Amino acid sequence: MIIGTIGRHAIARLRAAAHLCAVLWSILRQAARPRHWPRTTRAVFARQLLFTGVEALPFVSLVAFLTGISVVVQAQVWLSKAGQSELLGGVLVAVIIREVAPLLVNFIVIGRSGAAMAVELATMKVLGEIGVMDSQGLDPLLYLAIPRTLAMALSVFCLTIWFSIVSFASGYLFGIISGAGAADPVAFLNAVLKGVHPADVYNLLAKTLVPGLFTAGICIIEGLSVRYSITEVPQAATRAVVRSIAALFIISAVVSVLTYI
Amino acid sequence: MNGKEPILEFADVTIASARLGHAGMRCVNQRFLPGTLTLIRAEEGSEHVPIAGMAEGLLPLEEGRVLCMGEVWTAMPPERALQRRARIGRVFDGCGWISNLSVEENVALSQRHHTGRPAAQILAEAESLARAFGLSEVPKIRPALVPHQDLRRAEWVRAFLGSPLLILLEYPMRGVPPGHLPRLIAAVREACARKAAVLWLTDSDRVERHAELPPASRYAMRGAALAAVENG
Repeated sequence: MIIGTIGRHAIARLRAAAHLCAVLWSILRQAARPRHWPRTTRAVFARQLLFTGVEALPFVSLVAFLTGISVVVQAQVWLSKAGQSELLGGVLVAVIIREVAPLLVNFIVIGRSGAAMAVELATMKVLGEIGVMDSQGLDPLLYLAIPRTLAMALSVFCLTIWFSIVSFASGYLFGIISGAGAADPVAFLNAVLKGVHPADVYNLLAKTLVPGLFTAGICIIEGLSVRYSITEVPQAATRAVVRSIAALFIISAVVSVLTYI
Repeated sequence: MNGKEPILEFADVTIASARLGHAGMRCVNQRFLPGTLTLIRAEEGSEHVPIAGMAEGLLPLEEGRVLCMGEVWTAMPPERALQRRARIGRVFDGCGWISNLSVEENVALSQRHHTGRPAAQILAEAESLARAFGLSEVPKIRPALVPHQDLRRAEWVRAFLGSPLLILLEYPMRGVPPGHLPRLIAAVREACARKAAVLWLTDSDRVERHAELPPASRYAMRGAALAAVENG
């Protein structure tokens, strides 16, 4: 009986994952066709970029600034004490670019935009606004899902790059102020750039674009899964956030393992 | 499409009553020819009559088929179905707006999505229709902030924008002062003159008896059936 319950649960999860992958595949396939980008869809894409990417910049910058202080300064201090300062670039790239920046930016985007997207779509569904679109010949997949999904993935990627730049800059500056780091900015920059390998670029792309796509897909599916009542909206938002975070950790773990193999 | 082919046709259509959605309809046979007005009377306070949703191929039928411009909705490729719906104007019974767009964006949405017309041209036509319906302009704010009667008339603007082939009016006078009725009737006359088919669902005697109403096929909902009503 217990095994049966676990099995049913596992099958349900696998089905949900397969459904999510099918939705994302459909979105990406449809998005590749230029005729699916009329001016209205482009406007939704621009609006989503503004909300998820541009408007998140101040908060992402603050988190990156504080992360830079704690991580970069610690790395500078401990590597210097161990007499391994030449490893600074590699360590910073491994910690900030490979792990911390993508993870924190994805967290911020899930909490800030993913939840909002799920609530927005769920409310639209309950209020009958999806039906209004249908009746005007607007396919919700083309008008709602494609621009939101791509804008979210692109935003996560750009915000992660911005996060890395700000955290390195703040770490470097705080290192100078505290006397923990070298004063030569060129040497610091060189150390970081030398630590970047092609695998880090693939890792960064995989840990930003893929979770961004999955977050959007999950939030869209959960948002549009509500049926009749406004009380279903917060439940859908909670499910969207929890499942997005779970997907983020799974994707991050898989990509990390693949990067180091 | 020639003047004798129906724009819309219901062939033995039966739709089940949805528990939370709408009334059922049974064995509906009806053709909507270009340039004609069809008036359907529903009792005030009755359940939502799903005829507009049926006409747009949006509701699952129990039996029968609905043809739009000669093609059955369910047999149409999805993209063609979207293009056909773009040629239909509708005033909704209930929610008719996307709340995170302004009324102006809502009104122009279908035209901006489906056509390559310049935005300025679409908005100029919308403003012209708005003035014809007694609005000073198409509201530039969100629907939630617009008074109900203005919002209803903005729905009229959207329904007639872009010269649609089929116009579905679900209780368009609800919440609108009767003084505006002649403006709507004038727009209906114009639409019929350019060979559009108009389906007008009403629960008001005032509409049915208006002297300026163009000749119309008249029907009434009798339970789940659509019954012809004598003119006059």
